[in-house]
Amino acid sequence: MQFPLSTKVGSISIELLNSAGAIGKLFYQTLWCFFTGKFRFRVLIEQIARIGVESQPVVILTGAFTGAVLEAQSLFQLQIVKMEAMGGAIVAVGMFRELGPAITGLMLAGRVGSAMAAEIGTMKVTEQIDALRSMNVNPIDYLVKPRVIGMLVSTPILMIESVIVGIVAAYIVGIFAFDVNEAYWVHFMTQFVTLSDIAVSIIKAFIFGLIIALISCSCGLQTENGAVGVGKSTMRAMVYASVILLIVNFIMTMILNTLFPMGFMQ
Amino acid sequence: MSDTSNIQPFIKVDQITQQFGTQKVLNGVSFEVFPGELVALIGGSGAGKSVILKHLDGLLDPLTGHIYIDGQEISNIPEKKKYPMRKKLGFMFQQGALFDSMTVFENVAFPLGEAGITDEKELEKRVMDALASVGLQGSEDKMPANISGGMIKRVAVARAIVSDPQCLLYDEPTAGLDPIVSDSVSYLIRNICINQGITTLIVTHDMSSVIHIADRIIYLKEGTIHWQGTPRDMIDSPDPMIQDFLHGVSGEDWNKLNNPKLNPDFQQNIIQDAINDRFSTQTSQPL
Repeated sequence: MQFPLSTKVGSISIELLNSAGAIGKLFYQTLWCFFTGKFRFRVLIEQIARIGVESQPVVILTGAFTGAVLEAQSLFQLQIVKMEAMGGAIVAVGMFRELGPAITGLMLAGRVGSAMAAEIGTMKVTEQIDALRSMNVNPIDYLVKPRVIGMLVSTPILMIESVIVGIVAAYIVGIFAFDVNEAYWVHFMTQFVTLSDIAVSIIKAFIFGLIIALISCSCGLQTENGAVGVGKSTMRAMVYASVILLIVNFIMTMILNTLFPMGFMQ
Repeated sequence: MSDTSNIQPFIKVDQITQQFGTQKVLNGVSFEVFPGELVALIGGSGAGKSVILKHLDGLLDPLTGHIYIDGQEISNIPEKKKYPMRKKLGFMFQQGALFDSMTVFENVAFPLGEAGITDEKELEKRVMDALASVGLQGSEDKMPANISGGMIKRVAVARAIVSDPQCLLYDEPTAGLDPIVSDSVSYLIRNICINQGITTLIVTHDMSSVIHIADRIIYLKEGTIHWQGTPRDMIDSPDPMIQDFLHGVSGEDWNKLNNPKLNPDFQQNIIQDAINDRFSTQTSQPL
Protein backbone atom coordinates (compact mmCIF):
# COMPACT_ATOMS: atom_id res chain seq x y z
CA MET A 1 0.00 0.00 0.00
CA GLN A 2 1.38 3.37 -0.99
CA PHE A 3 1.09 6.67 0.89
CA PRO A 4 2.15 9.28 -1.66
CA LEU A 5 1.06 12.21 0.51
CA SER A 6 2.82 10.97 3.62
CA THR A 7 5.91 10.14 1.55
CA LYS A 8 5.92 13.64 0.12
CA VAL A 9 5.43 15.23 3.55
CA GLY A 10 8.20 13.01 4.92
CA SER A 11 10.67 13.89 2.18
CA ILE A 12 9.92 17.62 2.51
CA SER A 13 10.36 17.37 6.28
CA ILE A 14 13.70 15.62 5.86
CA GLU A 15 14.83 18.25 3.35
CA LEU A 16 13.82 21.07 5.69
CA LEU A 17 15.59 19.42 8.63
CA ASN A 18 18.70 18.89 6.49
CA SER A 19 18.65 22.55 5.46
CA ALA A 20 18.12 23.67 9.06
CA GLY A 21 21.03 21.48 10.14
CA ALA A 22 23.24 22.88 7.37
CA ILE A 23 22.36 26.46 8.32
CA GLY A 24 23.04 25.74 12.00
CA LYS A 25 26.38 24.14 11.16
CA LEU A 26 27.29 27.08 8.93
CA PHE A 27 26.42 29.51 11.75
CA TYR A 28 28.75 27.63 14.11
CA GLN A 29 31.55 27.47 11.51
CA THR A 30 31.17 31.18 10.73
CA LEU A 31 31.26 32.04 14.41
CA TRP A 32 34.42 29.95 14.72
CA CYS A 33 35.98 31.86 11.82
CA PHE A 34 35.35 35.15 13.65
CA PHE A 35 37.90 34.03 16.22
CA THR A 36 40.29 31.92 14.19
CA GLY A 37 40.02 33.26 10.63
CA LYS A 38 41.89 35.87 8.69
CA PHE A 39 40.65 39.47 8.47
CA ARG A 40 40.38 40.55 4.83
CA PHE A 41 39.57 44.25 4.86
CA ARG A 42 39.18 44.60 1.08
CA VAL A 43 36.77 41.69 0.75
CA LEU A 44 34.69 43.05 3.64
CA ILE A 45 34.52 46.54 2.13
CA GLU A 46 33.49 45.02 -1.21
CA GLN A 47 30.65 43.16 0.48
CA ILE A 48 29.45 46.19 2.44
CA ALA A 49 29.48 48.20 -0.78
CA ARG A 50 27.62 45.51 -2.67
CA ILE A 51 25.05 44.85 0.05
CA GLY A 52 24.71 48.28 1.60
CA VAL A 53 25.44 50.90 -1.00
CA GLU A 54 24.01 49.14 -4.04
CA SER A 55 20.81 48.11 -2.24
CA GLN A 56 19.90 51.65 -1.24
CA PRO A 57 17.73 52.57 -4.26
CA VAL A 58 15.45 49.55 -3.95
CA VAL A 59 15.18 49.81 -0.16
CA ILE A 60 14.50 53.55 -0.25
CA LEU A 61 11.91 53.17 -2.98
CA THR A 62 10.02 50.38 -1.21
CA GLY A 63 10.27 52.23 2.11
CA ALA A 64 8.86 55.37 0.56
CA PHE A 65 5.88 53.71 -1.05
CA THR A 66 5.18 51.55 1.99
CA GLY A 67 5.08 54.65 4.19
CA ALA A 68 2.96 56.52 1.65
CA VAL A 69 0.39 53.77 1.21
CA LEU A 70 0.19 53.11 4.94
CA GLU A 71 -0.45 56.80 5.57
CA ALA A 72 -3.06 56.99 2.83
CA GLN A 73 -4.89 53.87 4.01
CA SER A 74 -4.77 55.02 7.64
CA LEU A 75 -6.10 58.44 6.73
CA PHE A 76 -9.01 56.96 4.75
CA GLN A 77 -10.10 55.26 7.98
CA LEU A 78 -9.07 58.01 10.42
CA GLN A 79 -11.02 60.64 8.45
CA ILE A 80 -14.20 58.85 9.48
CA VAL A 81 -13.43 59.43 13.16
CA LYS A 82 -11.72 62.81 12.60
CA MET A 83 -8.36 61.59 13.86
CA GLU A 84 -6.23 62.33 10.79
CA ALA A 85 -3.46 63.79 12.92
CA MET A 86 -2.71 60.28 14.23
CA GLY A 87 -1.61 59.15 10.77
CA GLY A 88 2.02 60.05 11.42
CA ALA A 89 2.11 58.08 14.67
CA ILE A 90 0.63 55.00 13.04
CA VAL A 91 3.08 55.12 10.15
CA ALA A 92 6.14 55.83 12.30
CA VAL A 93 5.46 53.13 14.90
CA GLY A 94 4.38 50.68 12.22
CA MET A 95 7.42 51.38 10.10
CA PHE A 96 9.86 51.10 13.00
CA ARG A 97 8.37 48.06 14.67
CA GLU A 98 7.18 45.99 11.70
CA LEU A 99 7.22 47.24 8.17
CA GLY A 100 10.69 48.80 8.06
CA PRO A 101 12.59 45.68 9.15
CA ALA A 102 10.27 43.29 7.29
CA ILE A 103 10.21 45.19 3.99
CA THR A 104 13.97 45.82 4.13
CA GLY A 105 14.57 42.16 4.98
CA LEU A 106 12.36 40.94 2.13
CA MET A 107 14.02 43.30 -0.34
CA LEU A 108 17.48 42.17 0.77
CA ALA A 109 16.43 38.51 0.62
CA GLY A 110 15.38 39.07 -2.97
CA ARG A 111 18.18 41.29 -4.12
CA VAL A 112 21.20 40.33 -2.03
CA GLY A 113 20.32 36.85 -0.76
CA SER A 114 19.60 35.44 -4.20
CA ALA A 115 22.77 37.08 -5.59
CA MET A 116 24.83 35.55 -2.77
CA ALA A 117 23.39 32.09 -3.37
CA ALA A 118 23.91 32.39 -7.13
CA GLU A 119 27.49 33.64 -6.78
CA ILE A 120 28.56 31.03 -4.23
CA GLY A 121 26.61 28.34 -6.08
CA THR A 122 28.37 29.19 -9.34
CA MET A 123 31.70 29.12 -7.51
CA LYS A 124 30.80 25.68 -6.16
CA VAL A 125 29.85 24.13 -9.51
CA THR A 126 32.83 25.67 -11.32
CA GLU A 127 35.22 24.28 -8.68
CA GLN A 128 36.25 27.76 -7.49
CA ILE A 129 35.50 26.72 -3.91
CA ASP A 130 37.70 23.64 -4.34
CA ALA A 131 40.34 25.99 -5.77
CA LEU A 132 40.13 28.11 -2.61
CA ARG A 133 40.61 25.03 -0.46
CA SER A 134 43.51 23.83 -2.61
CA MET A 135 45.19 27.18 -1.85
CA ASN A 136 44.64 26.64 1.89
CA VAL A 137 41.85 29.20 2.06
CA ASN A 138 38.86 28.31 4.21
CA PRO A 139 35.81 29.04 1.99
CA ILE A 140 33.66 29.91 5.00
CA ASP A 141 36.24 32.38 6.25
CA TYR A 142 36.71 33.88 2.78
CA LEU A 143 33.16 33.80 1.42
CA VAL A 144 30.65 33.51 4.25
CA LYS A 145 32.19 35.58 7.04
CA PRO A 146 32.50 38.84 5.05
CA ARG A 147 28.95 38.43 3.74
CA VAL A 148 27.58 37.88 7.24
CA ILE A 149 29.46 40.93 8.56
CA GLY A 150 28.38 42.92 5.51
CA MET A 151 24.74 42.06 6.19
CA LEU A 152 25.04 42.77 9.93
CA VAL A 153 26.49 46.20 9.17
CA SER A 154 24.26 47.09 6.23
CA THR A 155 20.81 45.80 7.17
CA PRO A 156 20.20 48.08 10.21
CA ILE A 157 21.44 51.11 8.26
CA LEU A 158 19.28 50.30 5.27
CA MET A 159 16.32 49.65 7.52
CA ILE A 160 16.70 53.03 9.26
CA GLU A 161 16.96 54.69 5.84
CA SER A 162 13.84 52.88 4.70
CA VAL A 163 11.89 53.93 7.81
CA ILE A 164 12.98 57.57 7.58
CA VAL A 165 12.10 57.75 3.89
CA GLY A 166 8.78 56.03 4.66
CA ILE A 167 7.93 58.62 7.33
CA VAL A 168 8.90 61.47 4.99
CA ALA A 169 6.68 59.97 2.28
CA ALA A 170 3.84 59.62 4.80
CA TYR A 171 4.35 63.26 5.80
CA ILE A 172 4.09 64.37 2.18
CA VAL A 173 0.95 62.31 1.62
CA GLY A 174 -0.65 63.43 4.89
CA ILE A 175 0.16 67.12 4.70
CA PHE A 176 -0.11 67.75 0.96
CA ALA A 177 -2.59 65.15 -0.30
CA PHE A 178 -4.93 64.92 2.72
CA ASP A 179 -4.35 68.41 4.10
CA VAL A 180 -3.72 67.18 7.64
CA ASN A 181 -2.57 69.72 10.22
CA GLU A 182 1.21 69.55 10.16
CA ALA A 183 1.83 70.52 13.77
CA TYR A 184 -0.54 67.85 15.15
CA TRP A 185 0.78 65.25 12.73
CA VAL A 186 4.37 65.83 13.86
CA HIS A 187 3.40 66.15 17.51
CA PHE A 188 1.63 62.79 17.68
CA MET A 189 4.29 61.13 15.63
CA THR A 190 7.10 62.22 17.97
CA GLN A 191 5.02 61.48 21.03
CA PHE A 192 4.29 57.91 20.06
CA VAL A 193 7.71 56.93 18.69
CA THR A 194 10.05 56.00 21.54
CA LEU A 195 13.57 54.66 21.79
CA SER A 196 12.15 51.18 22.38
CA ASP A 197 10.61 51.27 18.88
CA ILE A 198 13.99 52.08 17.39
CA ALA A 199 15.64 49.36 19.51
CA VAL A 200 13.09 46.79 18.30
CA SER A 201 13.69 47.72 14.68
CA ILE A 202 17.49 47.54 14.98
CA ILE A 203 17.40 44.18 16.79
CA LYS A 204 15.08 42.81 14.11
CA ALA A 205 17.28 44.16 11.32
CA PHE A 206 20.38 42.50 12.83
CA ILE A 207 18.61 39.15 13.11
CA PHE A 208 17.13 39.42 9.61
CA GLY A 209 20.54 40.28 8.16
CA LEU A 210 22.06 37.24 9.84
CA ILE A 211 19.24 34.97 8.68
CA ILE A 212 19.44 36.14 5.06
CA ALA A 213 23.24 35.82 4.90
CA LEU A 214 23.34 32.37 6.50
CA ILE A 215 20.48 30.91 4.46
CA SER A 216 21.78 32.33 1.19
CA CYS A 217 25.36 31.22 1.75
CA SER A 218 24.21 27.80 2.94
CA CYS A 219 22.05 27.32 -0.18
CA GLY A 220 24.98 28.45 -2.34
CA LEU A 221 27.42 26.08 -0.69
CA GLN A 222 25.05 23.14 -1.16
CA THR A 223 24.67 23.74 -4.90
CA GLU A 224 25.09 20.75 -7.18
CA ASN A 225 24.35 19.86 -10.80
CA GLY A 226 25.60 22.86 -12.75
CA ALA A 227 23.44 25.71 -13.99
CA VAL A 228 20.18 24.00 -13.02
CA GLY A 229 21.50 23.59 -9.50
CA VAL A 230 22.49 27.26 -9.32
CA GLY A 231 18.96 28.24 -10.36
CA LYS A 232 17.45 25.98 -7.71
CA SER A 233 19.77 27.27 -5.01
CA THR A 234 18.96 30.87 -5.89
CA MET A 235 15.24 30.22 -5.79
CA ARG A 236 15.56 28.20 -2.56
CA ALA A 237 17.63 30.92 -0.89
CA MET A 238 15.07 33.58 -1.66
CA VAL A 239 12.05 31.49 -0.68
CA TYR A 240 13.60 30.09 2.52
CA ALA A 241 14.97 33.46 3.60
CA SER A 242 11.66 35.27 2.95
CA VAL A 243 9.48 32.65 4.66
CA ILE A 244 11.77 32.22 7.67
CA LEU A 245 12.12 35.97 7.94
CA LEU A 246 8.34 36.39 8.21
CA ILE A 247 8.05 33.57 10.75
CA VAL A 248 10.92 34.95 12.84
CA ASN A 249 9.39 38.42 12.55
CA PHE A 250 6.21 37.19 14.20
CA ILE A 251 8.11 35.39 16.98
CA MET A 252 10.31 38.43 17.56
CA THR A 253 7.32 40.76 17.62
CA MET A 254 5.79 38.68 20.41
CA ILE A 255 9.03 38.56 22.39
CA LEU A 256 10.20 42.12 21.79
CA ASN A 257 6.84 43.64 22.62
CA THR A 258 7.23 42.09 26.06
CA LEU A 259 10.79 43.30 26.45
CA PHE A 260 10.24 46.70 24.81
CA PRO A 261 6.57 47.64 25.23
CA MET A 262 5.17 50.29 22.89
CA GLY A 263 5.23 53.91 24.04
CA PHE A 264 1.58 54.23 25.11
CA MET A 265 1.76 50.88 26.96
CA GLN A 266 4.65 51.96 29.17
CA MET B 1 61.84 6.53 -15.71
CA SER B 2 64.99 4.95 -14.39
CA ASP B 3 65.16 2.49 -11.49
CA THR B 4 63.01 3.88 -8.71
CA SER B 5 63.43 1.13 -6.13
CA ASN B 6 65.54 3.31 -3.79
CA ILE B 7 63.64 6.56 -4.32
CA GLN B 8 60.83 7.60 -2.02
CA PRO B 9 57.70 8.34 -4.04
CA PHE B 10 56.43 11.89 -3.90
CA ILE B 11 52.86 10.66 -4.16
CA LYS B 12 51.86 7.31 -2.72
CA VAL B 13 48.29 6.11 -3.02
CA ASP B 14 47.60 3.00 -1.01
CA GLN B 15 44.45 0.97 -1.57
CA ILE B 16 42.00 3.88 -1.49
CA THR B 17 38.27 3.37 -1.87
CA GLN B 18 35.51 5.90 -2.36
CA GLN B 19 31.76 5.69 -2.73
CA PHE B 20 29.18 8.40 -3.52
CA GLY B 21 25.75 7.22 -2.45
CA THR B 22 25.48 3.67 -3.71
CA GLN B 23 28.00 4.17 -6.51
CA LYS B 24 31.48 2.82 -5.89
CA VAL B 25 33.89 5.24 -7.53
CA LEU B 26 37.27 3.97 -6.37
CA ASN B 27 37.86 0.37 -5.47
CA GLY B 28 41.30 -0.21 -3.99
CA VAL B 29 43.46 2.12 -6.09
CA SER B 30 47.21 2.04 -5.45
CA PHE B 31 50.01 3.77 -7.35
CA GLU B 32 53.08 5.88 -6.84
CA VAL B 33 54.51 8.93 -8.55
CA PHE B 34 58.22 9.59 -8.14
CA PRO B 35 59.95 12.98 -7.90
CA GLY B 36 60.36 14.68 -11.27
CA GLU B 37 58.17 12.14 -13.02
CA LEU B 38 55.31 13.05 -15.35
CA VAL B 39 52.53 10.52 -14.99
CA ALA B 40 49.31 10.53 -16.99
CA LEU B 41 46.16 9.09 -15.43
CA ILE B 42 43.83 8.00 -18.19
CA GLY B 43 40.53 6.15 -18.37
CA GLY B 44 36.98 6.44 -19.56
CA SER B 45 34.54 9.05 -18.33
CA GLY B 46 33.41 8.26 -14.80
CA ALA B 47 36.39 6.00 -14.12
CA GLY B 48 37.33 8.09 -11.08
CA LYS B 49 40.34 10.03 -12.39
CA SER B 50 39.32 13.51 -11.22
CA VAL B 51 38.15 12.02 -7.93
CA ILE B 52 41.66 10.64 -7.39
CA LEU B 53 43.18 14.07 -8.03
CA LYS B 54 40.86 15.64 -5.46
CA HIS B 55 41.90 12.97 -2.96
CA LEU B 56 45.57 13.77 -3.61
CA ASP B 57 44.97 17.44 -2.74
CA GLY B 58 42.99 16.53 0.36
CA LEU B 59 39.77 17.96 -1.08
CA LEU B 60 38.17 14.55 -0.57
CA ASP B 61 39.02 11.90 1.99
CA PRO B 62 38.95 8.22 1.00
CA LEU B 63 36.63 5.83 2.81
CA THR B 64 39.53 3.45 3.35
CA GLY B 65 43.19 3.50 2.39
CA HIS B 66 45.90 6.11 2.68
CA ILE B 67 47.47 8.86 0.59
CA TYR B 68 50.95 10.17 1.26
CA ILE B 69 52.40 13.39 -0.13
CA ASP B 70 56.17 13.55 0.25
CA GLY B 71 55.97 10.89 2.95
CA GLN B 72 53.22 12.57 5.00
CA GLU B 73 49.66 11.33 5.09
CA ILE B 74 47.09 13.80 3.73
CA SER B 75 43.99 11.62 3.96
CA ASN B 76 41.49 11.67 6.84
CA ILE B 77 43.25 14.33 8.87
CA PRO B 78 41.85 17.71 10.00
CA GLU B 79 41.72 20.40 7.32
CA LYS B 80 44.39 22.60 8.90
CA LYS B 81 46.85 19.70 9.10
CA LYS B 82 46.56 19.36 5.33
CA TYR B 83 47.92 22.86 4.79
CA PRO B 84 51.65 21.96 4.84
CA MET B 85 51.10 19.19 2.27
CA ARG B 86 48.96 21.41 0.05
CA LYS B 87 51.74 23.99 -0.04
CA LYS B 88 53.79 21.41 -1.93
CA LEU B 89 51.02 20.93 -4.48
CA GLY B 90 49.64 23.05 -7.29
CA PHE B 91 46.24 22.14 -8.70
CA MET B 92 44.93 23.06 -12.13
CA PHE B 93 41.20 22.48 -12.29
CA GLN B 94 39.36 21.21 -15.34
CA GLN B 95 37.72 24.53 -16.28
CA GLY B 96 40.50 26.61 -14.76
CA ALA B 97 38.40 27.63 -11.72
CA LEU B 98 39.59 31.22 -12.03
CA PHE B 99 37.83 33.72 -9.78
CA ASP B 100 35.44 35.64 -12.04
CA SER B 101 35.58 38.85 -10.04
CA MET B 102 39.37 39.15 -10.28
CA THR B 103 41.68 40.10 -13.12
CA VAL B 104 44.27 37.68 -14.48
CA PHE B 105 46.91 39.37 -12.31
CA GLU B 106 44.77 39.15 -9.18
CA ASN B 107 43.97 35.51 -9.86
CA VAL B 108 47.64 34.58 -10.13
CA ALA B 109 48.58 36.77 -7.16
CA PHE B 110 45.83 35.30 -4.98
CA PRO B 111 47.73 32.27 -3.58
CA LEU B 112 50.73 34.48 -2.82
CA GLY B 113 48.63 37.02 -0.95
CA GLU B 114 46.93 34.26 1.01
CA ALA B 115 50.33 32.74 1.83
CA GLY B 116 51.24 36.04 3.49
CA ILE B 117 53.40 37.70 0.83
CA THR B 118 52.66 41.39 1.27
CA ASP B 119 55.70 42.97 -0.40
CA GLU B 120 54.11 44.38 -3.56
CA LYS B 121 57.32 44.35 -5.60
CA GLU B 122 58.02 40.71 -4.84
CA LEU B 123 54.41 39.81 -5.48
CA GLU B 124 54.36 41.61 -8.81
CA LYS B 125 57.66 40.06 -9.91
CA ARG B 126 56.53 36.54 -9.09
CA VAL B 127 53.17 37.01 -10.81
CA MET B 128 54.76 38.50 -13.91
CA ASP B 129 57.34 35.69 -14.01
CA ALA B 130 54.58 33.08 -13.74
CA LEU B 131 52.56 34.77 -16.48
CA ALA B 132 55.67 35.03 -18.67
CA SER B 133 56.40 31.33 -18.22
CA VAL B 134 52.98 30.50 -19.68
CA GLY B 135 53.30 33.12 -22.42
CA LEU B 136 50.70 35.54 -21.09
CA GLN B 137 52.61 38.78 -20.74
CA GLY B 138 50.33 41.74 -21.33
CA SER B 139 47.14 39.94 -20.28
CA GLU B 140 47.35 40.72 -16.60
CA ASP B 141 44.55 43.30 -16.59
CA LYS B 142 42.03 41.16 -18.47
CA MET B 143 39.08 39.53 -16.76
CA PRO B 144 38.58 35.75 -17.04
CA ALA B 145 35.31 36.31 -18.92
CA ASN B 146 37.23 38.18 -21.64
CA ILE B 147 39.91 35.61 -22.43
CA SER B 148 39.82 32.40 -24.46
CA GLY B 149 39.60 28.87 -23.10
CA GLY B 150 43.27 28.26 -23.86
CA MET B 151 44.27 31.43 -22.02
CA ILE B 152 42.12 30.47 -19.03
CA LYS B 153 44.02 27.16 -18.83
CA ARG B 154 47.34 29.02 -19.04
CA VAL B 155 46.31 31.44 -16.29
CA ALA B 156 45.28 28.45 -14.20
CA VAL B 157 48.71 26.91 -14.80
CA ALA B 158 50.38 30.21 -13.84
CA ARG B 159 48.31 30.32 -10.65
CA ALA B 160 49.30 26.73 -9.88
CA ILE B 161 53.04 27.33 -10.38
CA VAL B 162 53.35 30.80 -8.83
CA SER B 163 53.78 29.39 -5.32
CA ASP B 164 56.68 27.18 -6.48
CA PRO B 165 55.03 23.83 -5.71
CA GLN B 166 56.97 20.59 -5.81
CA CYS B 167 54.16 18.78 -7.58
CA LEU B 168 51.50 19.82 -10.07
CA LEU B 169 48.14 18.12 -10.50
CA TYR B 170 46.36 18.82 -13.78
CA ASP B 171 42.71 17.88 -14.31
CA GLU B 172 42.10 17.55 -18.05
CA PRO B 173 44.23 20.54 -19.02
CA THR B 174 43.54 20.17 -22.75
CA ALA B 175 39.81 19.41 -22.57
CA GLY B 176 37.74 21.62 -24.87
CA LEU B 177 40.73 23.15 -26.65
CA ASP B 178 41.47 23.05 -30.35
CA PRO B 179 44.36 20.76 -31.39
CA ILE B 180 46.89 23.57 -31.75
CA VAL B 181 46.15 25.19 -28.38
CA SER B 182 45.92 21.72 -26.87
CA ASP B 183 49.42 20.92 -28.13
CA SER B 184 50.80 24.18 -26.78
CA VAL B 185 49.30 23.50 -23.34
CA SER B 186 50.75 19.97 -23.40
CA TYR B 187 54.20 21.30 -24.29
CA LEU B 188 53.88 23.90 -21.56
CA ILE B 189 53.13 21.19 -19.00
CA ARG B 190 56.06 19.12 -20.19
CA ASN B 191 58.42 22.11 -20.17
CA ILE B 192 57.42 23.11 -16.64
CA CYS B 193 57.99 19.53 -15.50
CA ILE B 194 61.45 19.33 -17.11
CA ASN B 195 62.71 22.86 -16.53
CA GLN B 196 61.55 23.20 -12.95
CA GLY B 197 61.82 19.52 -11.99
CA ILE B 198 58.21 19.49 -10.81
CA THR B 199 56.55 16.15 -10.24
CA THR B 200 53.46 16.07 -12.41
CA LEU B 201 50.28 14.05 -12.46
CA ILE B 202 47.93 14.77 -15.32
CA VAL B 203 44.41 13.47 -15.82
CA THR B 204 43.45 13.50 -19.46
CA HIS B 205 41.62 11.85 -22.32
CA ASP B 206 43.95 13.37 -24.87
CA MET B 207 45.95 10.34 -26.02
CA SER B 208 48.05 12.31 -28.45
CA SER B 209 49.16 14.52 -25.56
CA VAL B 210 49.76 11.51 -23.30
CA ILE B 211 52.00 9.80 -25.84
CA HIS B 212 53.88 13.06 -26.35
CA ILE B 213 54.58 14.09 -22.80
CA ALA B 214 54.11 11.30 -20.26
CA ASP B 215 56.89 9.29 -18.63
CA ARG B 216 54.40 6.76 -17.38
CA ILE B 217 50.73 6.07 -17.98
CA ILE B 218 48.18 4.66 -15.54
CA TYR B 219 44.95 3.34 -17.01
CA LEU B 220 41.99 3.44 -14.67
CA LYS B 221 38.89 1.40 -15.28
CA GLU B 222 35.80 1.29 -13.07
CA GLY B 223 37.65 2.53 -10.03
CA THR B 224 40.61 0.18 -10.27
CA ILE B 225 43.96 0.38 -11.99
CA HIS B 226 43.70 -1.82 -15.04
CA TRP B 227 47.13 -1.18 -16.51
CA GLN B 228 50.25 0.95 -16.12
CA GLY B 229 53.44 1.38 -18.07
CA THR B 230 55.43 3.71 -20.32
CA PRO B 231 54.04 5.18 -23.55
CA ARG B 232 56.14 2.58 -25.43
CA ASP B 233 54.63 -0.21 -23.30
CA MET B 234 51.20 1.15 -24.11
CA ILE B 235 51.81 1.17 -27.84
CA ASP B 236 53.13 -2.36 -27.68
CA SER B 237 50.48 -3.61 -25.28
CA PRO B 238 48.47 -6.57 -26.58
CA ASP B 239 45.60 -5.65 -24.24
CA PRO B 240 42.65 -4.89 -26.55
CA MET B 241 41.16 -2.42 -24.04
CA ILE B 242 44.38 -0.43 -24.05
CA GLN B 243 44.57 -0.50 -27.82
CA ASP B 244 40.94 0.59 -28.10
CA PHE B 245 41.55 3.48 -25.72
CA LEU B 246 44.74 4.43 -27.53
CA HIS B 247 43.05 4.53 -30.90
CA GLY B 248 39.83 6.08 -29.70
CA VAL B 249 37.35 3.39 -30.72
CA SER B 250 37.35 -0.38 -30.94
CA GLY B 251 38.09 -1.99 -34.29
CA GLU B 252 34.92 -3.99 -33.90
CA ASP B 253 32.90 -0.78 -33.61
CA TRP B 254 34.48 0.62 -36.78
CA ASN B 255 33.51 -2.49 -38.64
CA LYS B 256 29.97 -2.19 -37.36
CA LEU B 257 29.77 1.40 -38.53
CA ASN B 258 30.79 0.38 -42.04
CA ASN B 259 30.25 3.88 -43.34
CA PRO B 260 32.52 4.81 -46.23
CA LYS B 261 32.07 8.49 -45.43
CA LEU B 262 33.70 8.01 -42.05
CA ASN B 263 37.42 7.65 -42.03
CA PRO B 264 38.45 5.01 -39.48
CA ASP B 265 42.09 5.92 -39.93
CA PHE B 266 41.67 9.47 -38.74
CA GLN B 267 42.16 8.92 -35.01
CA GLN B 268 44.75 6.24 -35.81
CA ASN B 269 46.72 8.80 -37.79
CA ILE B 270 46.72 11.35 -34.98
CA ILE B 271 48.04 8.79 -32.53
CA GLN B 272 50.53 7.48 -35.09
CA ASP B 273 51.82 11.02 -35.60
CA ALA B 274 52.24 11.39 -31.85
CA ILE B 275 54.07 8.06 -31.67
CA ASN B 276 56.34 9.06 -34.56
CA ASP B 277 57.04 12.43 -32.95
CA ARG B 278 57.84 10.90 -29.62
CA PHE B 279 59.90 7.92 -30.66
CA SER B 280 61.48 8.78 -34.00
CA THR B 281 64.42 10.39 -32.17
CA GLN B 282 64.62 7.49 -29.66
CA THR B 283 64.37 9.82 -26.73
CA SER B 284 61.80 10.02 -23.98
CA GLN B 285 61.99 13.81 -23.86
CA PRO B 286 61.47 15.14 -27.37
CA LEU B 287 60.65 18.66 -26.26
